[in-house]
Amino acid sequence: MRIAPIVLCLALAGCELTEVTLNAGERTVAVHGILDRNNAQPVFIVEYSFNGDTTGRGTARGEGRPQFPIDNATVTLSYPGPGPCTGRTDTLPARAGSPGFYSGVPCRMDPGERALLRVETRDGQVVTGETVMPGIISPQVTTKQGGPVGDTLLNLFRETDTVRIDLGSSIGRGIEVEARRQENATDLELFLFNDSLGMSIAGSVLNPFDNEGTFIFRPGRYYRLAVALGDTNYFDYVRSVGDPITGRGYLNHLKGGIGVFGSVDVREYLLKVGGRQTDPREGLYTIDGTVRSLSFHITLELYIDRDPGFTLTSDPLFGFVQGDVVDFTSMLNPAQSIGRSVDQSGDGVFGSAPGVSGFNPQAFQFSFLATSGTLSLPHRFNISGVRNPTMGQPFPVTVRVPVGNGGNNLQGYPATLTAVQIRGPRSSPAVSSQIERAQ
Amino acid sequence: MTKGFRRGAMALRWVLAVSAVAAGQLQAQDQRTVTGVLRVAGDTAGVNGALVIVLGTGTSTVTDAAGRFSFLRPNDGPLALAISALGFRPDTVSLAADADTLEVRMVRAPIQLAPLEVERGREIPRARFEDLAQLSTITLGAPELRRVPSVLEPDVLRAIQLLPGTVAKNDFSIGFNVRGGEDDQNLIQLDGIPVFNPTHLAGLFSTFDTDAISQTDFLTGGFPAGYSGRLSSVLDIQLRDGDSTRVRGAGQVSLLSSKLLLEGPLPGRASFLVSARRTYMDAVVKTFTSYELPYYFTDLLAKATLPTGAGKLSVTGYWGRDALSLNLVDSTETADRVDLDLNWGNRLLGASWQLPVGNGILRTRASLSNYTTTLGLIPDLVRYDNAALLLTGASALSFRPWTGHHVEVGGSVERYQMRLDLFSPALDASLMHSRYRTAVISGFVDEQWSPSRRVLLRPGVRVEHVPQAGFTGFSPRVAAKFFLTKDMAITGSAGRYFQPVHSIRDQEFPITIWESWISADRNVAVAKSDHVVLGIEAWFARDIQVTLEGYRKTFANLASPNPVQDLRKQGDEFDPATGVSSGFDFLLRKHAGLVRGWVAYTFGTARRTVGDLTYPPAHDRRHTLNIVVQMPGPLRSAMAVRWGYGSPLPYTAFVGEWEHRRYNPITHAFDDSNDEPVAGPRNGSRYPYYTRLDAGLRWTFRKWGVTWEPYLQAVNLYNRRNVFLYFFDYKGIPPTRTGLSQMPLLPTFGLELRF
Repeated sequence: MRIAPIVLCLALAGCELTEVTLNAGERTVAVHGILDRNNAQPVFIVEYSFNGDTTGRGTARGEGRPQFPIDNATVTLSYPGPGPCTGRTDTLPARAGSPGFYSGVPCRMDPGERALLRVETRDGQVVTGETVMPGIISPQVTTKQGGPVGDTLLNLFRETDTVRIDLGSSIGRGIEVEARRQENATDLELFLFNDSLGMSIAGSVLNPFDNEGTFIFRPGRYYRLAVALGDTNYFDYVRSVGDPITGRGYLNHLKGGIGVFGSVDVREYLLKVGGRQTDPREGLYTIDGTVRSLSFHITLELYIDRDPGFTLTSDPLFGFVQGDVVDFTSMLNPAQSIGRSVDQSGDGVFGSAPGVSGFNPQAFQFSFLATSGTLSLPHRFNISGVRNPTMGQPFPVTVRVPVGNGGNNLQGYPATLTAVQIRGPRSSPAVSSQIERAQ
Repeated sequence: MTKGFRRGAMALRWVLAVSAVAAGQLQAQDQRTVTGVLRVAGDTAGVNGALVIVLGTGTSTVTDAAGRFSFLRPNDGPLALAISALGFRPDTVSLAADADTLEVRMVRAPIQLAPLEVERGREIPRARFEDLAQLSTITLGAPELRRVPSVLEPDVLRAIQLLPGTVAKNDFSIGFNVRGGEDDQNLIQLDGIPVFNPTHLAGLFSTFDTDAISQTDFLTGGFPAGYSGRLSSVLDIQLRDGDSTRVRGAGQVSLLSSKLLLEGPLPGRASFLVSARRTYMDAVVKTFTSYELPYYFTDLLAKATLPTGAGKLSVTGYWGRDALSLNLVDSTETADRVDLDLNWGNRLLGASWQLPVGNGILRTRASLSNYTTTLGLIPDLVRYDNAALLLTGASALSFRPWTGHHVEVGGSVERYQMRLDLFSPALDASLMHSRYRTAVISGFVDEQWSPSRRVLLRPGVRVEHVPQAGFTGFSPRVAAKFFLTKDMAITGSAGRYFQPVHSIRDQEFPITIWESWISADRNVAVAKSDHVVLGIEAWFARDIQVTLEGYRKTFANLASPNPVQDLRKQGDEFDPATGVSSGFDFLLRKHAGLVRGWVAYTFGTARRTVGDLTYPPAHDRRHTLNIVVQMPGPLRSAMAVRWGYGSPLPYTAFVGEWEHRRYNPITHAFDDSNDEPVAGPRNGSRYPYYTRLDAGLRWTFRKWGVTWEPYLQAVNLYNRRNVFLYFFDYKGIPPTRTGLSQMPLLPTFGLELRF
């Protein structure tokens, strides 16, 4: 971050130096290993750092895969105690077909218990580390709205609510909080860490560095909120980065290599975000019909949410989907389609729709990836149409389930259904809060 | 903390009481002191180095940089004073029996036109050579400072970087390292008021207006007992008094900023001087383009001087600010405005009172130095605040108890209040909350003793007590000079120095955007350094000075940032570091004449040890050479040329890259990564050597009652690509290294005027 303005200014001033080719650098063993109290089968990655030499480069590329995996290393965990694992030694075997990955079922440690890591490569390089298992005790993770289902579903009214996290009596070094889309756990929306056991996150918090400011939380979306309590190694691994100027900065606790051997205790919550509804196009809709002779009935609770710097004519749309859809277990055999229920969130836009030329504020398209409920496979559902501005009057919508490459082919199985807006800001002066409470 | 402050205040009262008693005793001797000032006729400047002889008495003295002088009245009758100075018409003035003050206006008489040989007074360095056992001290006057080629406009700290004993790590920072010490070990003070961070624009420019400066003394080691608070150097910048006869002004327009200086008389023989400077690129960009440059800096400097009988009361104030305000999010119905705000600045206020007491002078000073940094996503996302406040009360009495002895005794109370906060209102999280309240109570005795014509000794001692750190430090200091001939002497000094404040900035980072300060307490130790200096100084042809000084310094309790500090705790911010440095400095300087300047060469080595790791610090430069020549140039200009060479500086080379993978606590997998460097041995590699040639031309002419001084400057005339930073790419095949150079060829121009 701090190097960026320097580079920019100096590059503008013509201060760039000529590129020079270097000899290959050193190979360092990099180890990533996290013991998670809620994961019985941790996966460790053992690989070489990049040094400008292609020797040993793996053929399997892609996110999360080591490019210079180290095969046939010995990865062992031992437990000096005290604790239930005292005296045990666990070996994590190499995972077949995944070079550089080592996985097993080690002893389940108690909070405060220590574990020692030893990684030895075929070349005799040895990396060691030590971790202490943290433990979350009586977590208090709340919003003002609370949640109707135990403690794991939290309703958040975006404009006025705050997520409060208090792990006050837990054992650990610091907390990490992440929020990801429910439908896609790799879609990181929020990442925070704090050198304490508590944190509060305002529902209206902005990411000022994304465009001209974007909201972290969108009304009409579900988020998976992970609250992780790490030991010192995990916390330092999360909070530190190597400085591109000095080379220092990353807090490495391994000996003989670089990376992390830490432990973490995680609690996960489902965050349902609502908010004010002021645009008449927002509100509650029903969509009914029959697809392949099966009943298709869902409700859409839609929100329009513009970012502060938003300048497009179309309005971003977010919404919750609940009801019964058709599960296309086999795309080629309609007879195998069965009805399923969903409770999801999705995104869309008001202003345009397939088959509608030009800008039309009533035209909309909405998409959701159905992964929850009783669906056998995740399917993307695209819904589009032109809204009838009169409350309670039906209008046709088209539901498509794209098939083919990446699910983007809109030719798959269209069906025309009937939509009706049954609630919205015009229907009641205090509709926004009523809708929020109703959900 | 309050208790400590009360104890400090009591100590100050004690110091003042002792001073008052001593003053009373001396006044009882019924001796009178004559004080005066020599000024240039038709100008505000004092005449530096003028010789003042009391005819018929054997008494003589030399004026200081502000033209001031004083001497003990040899008798109660009327006196005749013969005054001479290089470049001025000699004069003789009389002083009535009942008068003890006078002001003399000297008329310029350029020596190249004068048919007579003019006897002139000694240059300050020459006077220091002959009269004082004080090593490692270099004085620069305002004209020299203004003529040294610099970046965009004259800068005192750029000139300091060219002196022996200093290492400047790169062109983009006015920071400097003295004899192996870090940036934060330099005491920089303005009229005696310490300045925490005297920089603008990420350390590219200093805060000082060279037009307002009378004299700059730079002490690179072995400094006497009167100085304290830093380990490695003292940069003592003195402002001149305003003109007490009429209103004058000066201005400057450069590519960087515009400034205006006004000075003039006030009632009661008092005078004022006010200087203001502001960058204007933000206004230019806004006026002529559709863009905004959300940055500016500004300075406001003021000094008032009031004669009080035979004494003088001065008040100095400074206010400076750098402000960057970048609007990230505009306010809307659904969101508040969010700005990235970065601003920092110093506020100084000090009063000093000089009072002749018997055959001595009592100097009393009270000052406030405040420095603040704020970096935040405003209004409520995250905010970092560092505030450093220093309150000082000090008093010192210098007097001559016996022939050949000049003693200064004094004491001070300093009160530091440092605050570090990192918090997020939006997250309701306080990430850092540290408070430091430190008092430093000190006293010193410093004596200049001339036991014989060939020997000068300067023993001294300073005692410093820091109650919050449970620390009492005893700092013996001694300097000696043995004259081999009247123009050559062997010199030496040794001393112990303590530093109760630390900057928590990574001192190895190549630029100084700002400093963040903390002070000693029970967790943060007082740093210590011992100096030993041995050298030789010789003078040739009255104005050519040659010095050679070897030094060795040790450091203890240096504050090396602790990378694994726990932000919840106060006290683990640093790992204690030790260090050692040694080397020698050579200076050849010509003080007068049409061609003047200096050659400064430094050989140095430095090492730091943190835990088990010993490494060369980033400023460990083996050879530094700077040649500065000021002489007549083409087209009737005054020309200044500077050529510099620096041997390679250390840096940490990267030997590879690794993927710092992100753990997903929901999927329990590593699903994302950042590429980060694998560093080789700390500072185990060296950049190429550094060299740069600068030149400046300046013309002076008078028109419409105004003296105009346009100037042209060019930095890095042969456009050498001195390396600033390297970047490595080990993911590519083959691995490569790119980088950024330091300042390219940069021609600039500007205009100064005086009226």
